[in-house]
Amino acid sequence: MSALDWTVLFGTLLLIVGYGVYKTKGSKNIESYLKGDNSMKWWTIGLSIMATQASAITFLSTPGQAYNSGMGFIQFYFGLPIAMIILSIWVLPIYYKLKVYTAYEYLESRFDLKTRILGAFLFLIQRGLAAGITIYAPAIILSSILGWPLVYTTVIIGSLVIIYTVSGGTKAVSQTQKHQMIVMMGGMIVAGLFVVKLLPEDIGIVEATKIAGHLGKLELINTEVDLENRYTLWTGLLGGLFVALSYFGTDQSQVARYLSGKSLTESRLGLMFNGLLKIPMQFVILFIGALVFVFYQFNQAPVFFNEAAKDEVYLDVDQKEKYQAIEQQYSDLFEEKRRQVQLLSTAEGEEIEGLKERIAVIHDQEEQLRDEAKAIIKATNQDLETTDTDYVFITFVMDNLPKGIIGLLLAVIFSAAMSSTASELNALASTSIIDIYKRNINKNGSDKHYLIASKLFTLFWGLVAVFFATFAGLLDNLIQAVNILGSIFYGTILGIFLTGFFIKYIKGNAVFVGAVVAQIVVLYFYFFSEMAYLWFNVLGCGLVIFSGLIIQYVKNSKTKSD
Amino acid sequence: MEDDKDLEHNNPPVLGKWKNFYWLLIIVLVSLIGIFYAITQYFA
Repeated sequence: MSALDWTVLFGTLLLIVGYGVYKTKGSKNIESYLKGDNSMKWWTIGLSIMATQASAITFLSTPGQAYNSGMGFIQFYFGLPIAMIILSIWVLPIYYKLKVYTAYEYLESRFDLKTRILGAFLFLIQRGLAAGITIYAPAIILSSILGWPLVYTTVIIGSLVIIYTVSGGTKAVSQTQKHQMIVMMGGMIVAGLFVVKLLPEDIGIVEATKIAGHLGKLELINTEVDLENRYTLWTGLLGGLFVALSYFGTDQSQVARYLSGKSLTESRLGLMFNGLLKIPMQFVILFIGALVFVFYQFNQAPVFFNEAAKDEVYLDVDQKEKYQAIEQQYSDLFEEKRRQVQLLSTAEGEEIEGLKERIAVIHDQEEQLRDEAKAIIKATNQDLETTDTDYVFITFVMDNLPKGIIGLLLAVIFSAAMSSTASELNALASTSIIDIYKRNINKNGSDKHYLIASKLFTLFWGLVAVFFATFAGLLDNLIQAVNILGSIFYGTILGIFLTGFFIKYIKGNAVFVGAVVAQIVVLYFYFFSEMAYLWFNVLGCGLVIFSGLIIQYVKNSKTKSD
Repeated sequence: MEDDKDLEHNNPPVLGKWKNFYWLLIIVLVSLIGIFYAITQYFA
């Protein structure tokens, strides 16, 4: 990295953080600290919602996904706009009417205190662990790319976030997210323009799109009804709706964003803004991944994108020789493939099919070589990761983009990590103070007391996240473990909220027992069955509603007979 | 804060000439799915 890159990277990060701290210093009370004085305009809310959802992995992993499997992942977001409408019509007015700080306060007014504590507790467990992963996932990739120890990248991301989140609360989170989002979008567009610029002279954006399309990277919609395929139009519309409803409607890290709105209309417009822009934004990120794929049809790609793994293989003389032999074969195949792809860029009619077939044969051979390379990596060190999807885009950036732009793209990734972590810390602090501390432990403190306690809770959760991120590498398959953990609790939380919003018949005791039953059944399925973990969301939610209905019915019948 | 009347009536948000933002969102979603479907079919 050049001095210019360092200047751009740290200049951008420090400017955003410094401005955020400066603009939002001096919160005088808890309302100001946790709800930002209800002063946010719709565009700030909208950008803040988008920045919260866009974690560093969004920018590292999504282009890699398009590079490997095409742009079908876009379908996952089709349910999101519908969820935004449902939340705007039915959920936001309820939160506004009750003037709540957290989503879980609603549960007490609708059901009872124990249901509120259950909801808050499930959120704290799940989000507390996830905050560590939000820092750890980019930190491990950046440490591998930059050659820094993991602890450096973790502490940089963590400490910058803690500074402004503790200092300015919700307002600082939203203010900084507005600028972080501008950096993220601007950085990605610049990256996209550079990919096109780096293509051969006779390949413009039209030819690149044609190549990506003919090589299967632009299969955006899959209308098949296939339960095993994760990304189809139907799973996107139904499953995506389900996930978006629970994430935006019941997860405090998102609820806090729109509760800081100046009015109900501003909050609704913020959600609409997110609903309008989310799919186009994901399309742009995925399309950049498809363009990177085209770039590597004309420029030699590494056999395996994580250079750190290759470096470790090279330390072993025997393995190094085998690996180099594979690299040589891979290079020979590339020359042949480049010729075919060049022909494809200008081919018409029946010619296209023949070329596609020939390229597919070469691609299969390449994949075989990649599998052999992965086997060597695994043989060198069992602990080395053999999935390199997350490294595709960052490797392209580091190897090919000019000075200054590399710094900007790294700022995009750091900004994304910081923006989602900030929302998580802010939400964890709000829930700890409002639903647990103020409601159950110390009810009669002064405003100043609660303000200081809120700051201390933010600091506490920040330190927990950094600590967890630093030691996360000791656990195997950690990201998947946290996803599983999330799915185990998300369904139950959504079930409680949906019951509250739409099934008036079910009362507090019934929903509480229903939620406990649902959670036990989900845990049973987790430990004693092979069920795919994404289904835990559906199972937990359905069970809360179903068992709540039965318990309420039995209770009512008993009351009548008495 | 909105007054209670607005909360009860569930008025859709208004921005410029778009009197009902919900329909705008549905139209955009359907159009995007249509465009994406056309792209997929074109290269199929």
